[in-house]
Amino acid sequence: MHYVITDYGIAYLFGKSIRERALALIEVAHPRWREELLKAAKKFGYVRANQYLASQVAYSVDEERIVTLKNGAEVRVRPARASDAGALQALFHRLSEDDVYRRFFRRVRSLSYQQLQTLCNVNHESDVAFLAVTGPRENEEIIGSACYWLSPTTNLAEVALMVSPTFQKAGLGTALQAYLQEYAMSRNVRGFVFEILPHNVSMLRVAARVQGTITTSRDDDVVHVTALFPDTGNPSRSPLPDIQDPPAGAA
Amino acid sequence: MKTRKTHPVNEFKVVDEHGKEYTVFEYQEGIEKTSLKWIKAGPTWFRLSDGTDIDKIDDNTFNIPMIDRVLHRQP
Repeated sequence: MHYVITDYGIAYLFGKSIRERALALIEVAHPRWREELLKAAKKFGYVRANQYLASQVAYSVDEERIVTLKNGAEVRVRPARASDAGALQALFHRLSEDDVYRRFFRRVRSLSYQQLQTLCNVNHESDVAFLAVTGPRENEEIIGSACYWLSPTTNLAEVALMVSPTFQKAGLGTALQAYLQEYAMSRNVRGFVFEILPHNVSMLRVAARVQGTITTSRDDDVVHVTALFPDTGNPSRSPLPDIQDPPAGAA
Repeated sequence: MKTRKTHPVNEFKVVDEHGKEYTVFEYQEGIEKTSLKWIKAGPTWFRLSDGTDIDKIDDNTFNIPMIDRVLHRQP
């Protein structure tokens, strides 16, 4: 069996692990049965004992988007699913050590399953994750990840991106950020917060392209960028914030 | 509320005056945010791969206090 189609989405099964298949099938089941199916899958050892499903709604095909990059490549941006963990780990392992340090602010050799779930198993309301993918739907390669986590107290969302080295400098980060902003604005999020290492100039540029009012501050280790979205439907692009020059010796 | 943890946040090579190479781990107390970003929230210290604590003299120079051996960071 290659795939299963329900009212709640398509589960691509061919070539996937048992865990990925079980999760993919549960994710396209009627929400009423998902908890029960998840419980049964745990009982049979098909999924981990601490597996959860953050989203209880149907996979939203309407949120899929085709994006054309500066190099002419067309990539699909789509909501992340819990069953994307394996492909997300593959993206992580394609990143250089420096990319990993810039994303996680420390050396990380591998992401734990729990960490991967943080990046793809989200409720799409307060925690949001989109993936940029290439290849056929049944065998996608994840080339980018864009997430935000909304603070209920400030109504500001912290943003984090990962882009595969082969698609860096192609405008994918900017495209993902723009899509995240569109999604966030449609949900009345007040703005984005970015925490960026001072020498991560490309990410500083991505943050500077958020439409709205941008303020930056810097402590010893991190540049904090706050971007407040415009109130009206006619946003004006704010000027670029001060991007710090790379410190001597920085990559 | 996130709890503070200690993690190795960096790893690099140093050499002594005889050219012997050591691996240094930089440990830091901090908080892992929901975004998985590591935010420093406490002291930093350095340790060789065999567990020996070393002192930082400057960004590129370290010292093994037990034997008073100076180590230089490799470019």
